[in-house]
Amino acid sequence: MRSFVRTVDTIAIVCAVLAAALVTAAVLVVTWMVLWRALGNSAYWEIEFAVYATVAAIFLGSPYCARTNGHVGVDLLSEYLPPRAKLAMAMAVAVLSLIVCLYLTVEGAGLALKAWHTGETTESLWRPAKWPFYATMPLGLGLTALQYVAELLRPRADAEGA
Amino acid sequence: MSEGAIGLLLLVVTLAVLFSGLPIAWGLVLVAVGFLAVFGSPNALAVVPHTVMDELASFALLTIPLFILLGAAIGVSAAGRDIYASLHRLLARVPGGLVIANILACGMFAAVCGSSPATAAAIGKIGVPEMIQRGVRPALATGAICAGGTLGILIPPSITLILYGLVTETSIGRLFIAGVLPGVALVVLFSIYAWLAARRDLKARPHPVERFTLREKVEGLVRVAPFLGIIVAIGYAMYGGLATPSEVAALGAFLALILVIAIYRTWRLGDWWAIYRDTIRESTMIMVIIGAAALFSYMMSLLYVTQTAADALVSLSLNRWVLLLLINVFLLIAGCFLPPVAIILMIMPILTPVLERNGFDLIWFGVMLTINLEVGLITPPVGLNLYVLRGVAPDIPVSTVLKGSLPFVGIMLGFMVVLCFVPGFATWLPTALMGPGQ
Repeated sequence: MRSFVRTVDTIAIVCAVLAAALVTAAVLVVTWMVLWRALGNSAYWEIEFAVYATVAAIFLGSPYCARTNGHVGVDLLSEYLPPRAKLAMAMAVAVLSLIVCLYLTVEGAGLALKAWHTGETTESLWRPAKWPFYATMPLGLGLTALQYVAELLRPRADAEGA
Repeated sequence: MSEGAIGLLLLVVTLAVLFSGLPIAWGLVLVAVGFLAVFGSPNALAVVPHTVMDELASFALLTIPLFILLGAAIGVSAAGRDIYASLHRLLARVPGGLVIANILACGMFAAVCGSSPATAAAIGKIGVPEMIQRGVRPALATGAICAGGTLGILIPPSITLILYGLVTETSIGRLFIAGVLPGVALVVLFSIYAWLAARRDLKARPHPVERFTLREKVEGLVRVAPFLGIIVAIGYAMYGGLATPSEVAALGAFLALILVIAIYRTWRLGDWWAIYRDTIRESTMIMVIIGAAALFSYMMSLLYVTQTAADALVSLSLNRWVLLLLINVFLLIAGCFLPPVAIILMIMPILTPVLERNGFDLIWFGVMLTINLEVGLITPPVGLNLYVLRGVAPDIPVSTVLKGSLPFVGIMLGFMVVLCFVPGFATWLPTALMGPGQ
């Protein structure tokens, strides 16, 4: 169980590093686009690429965000609960989070699969396929769901160290 | 069930779900999907993933992660320390100069960073220990940082104003300029208060005046000048219509990353991890809430809750100032519990038509709303800046921080009243620079 939790934590970090690379790519591409256009050329793939990269980064960053308690919530009531009730509340919140992430993973996967089968592309000049864009949601949120499983299984002594 | 009854049920359920401690993003999805499943048409759920992805696939939204990256790069570098050290030395002979230096440093840092907790953290981690060591009352020291930090979302760039612009379809450039004068005014008012409070303290317990050479006074500001240069360039490009906010944000982030290497020699892997870790965490948190809120507002408008609530507010035909007061009281209460991002995304779709029909200027209201939500950032129970202060000064009890921030909260509320009587504070500069209307 410990090794499962550790593996999931590592995946979260790797995804966060990938997300950082994607955000940097978006910065570079948009900067390049502005200069390229200033030289009198026209841009056609840059904006879409930057949007794809950023949205992918957001979903890939989600497991790390969940691991480090970055998805903000109003955890006000649990402050006033006795320790055992507080723990139960935290478990319930993790289970609900897991369910929501799983739901979005399944729905998102359906959307990506449909786009893959129909060969859907965007309506721009560049016309990239849409399925990789849609697939970032089930990928990122699927891993976030896995992260919530790890949080539920995490030995309690480690849980504070986040 | 009538639309009104669904609306009330929605309010109760949303509050219950959000107060359970479930992350706001997941809570909004849960409520939206639940209501669509129960009250919507059978195929209402079919568009759920599409709604989220379409909302996120927007070039305008790129401004948010990119401005966060820009702020994080500058925040991790020693720029905050430099701004702070120079201002402190320049103001060493003024009574309360140290506290004023902290407030000014927050204002300057806010001009390169769009987030309040980040501003409070950057200046507070150096400023609070320094002030305490030199005998400033802990309440005044922490209160000044707590309040100064809120300037992060008023002085451009501002993540809050970007979101407000996207939701209400007002110009982000205009909103940014509209925040400038009120931001400066609050810096001045905060400083006057600090001066008065410190003078009173000094009478009780004088402390020695330090002297610094001119070189010592300005060297920090010289190092920070290029960063402020980026901001001026951003302003010029955006308000001159040379580039869209997203393009400007990308250029700004690019230049900030280069400058952080060139000026502060930020090469350590740990520093880069800190920059990107903070960027990814905050961007993901905000963007996932944006995606979830898109689903939530789709649900509200499909079930006619948005329209019914807006109509109900209009049909009360209240005096517009009474209406404004009620809205502000409501926002103040909401701001005590929810982060600004969630409030803007959930409440502005209902309020925008109501404000328009009552003849309120949306740019002006954006500034008003931002100051209002700033108050929520420094009041319990969920004041983000209070948590930041607890991080930088763990031995000072939260109650002391609170006592210290109360006078600043008073100043902010007072300034909101002034803004009602003199709307020009917010609207004059954008009109003067960008012409009337939009």
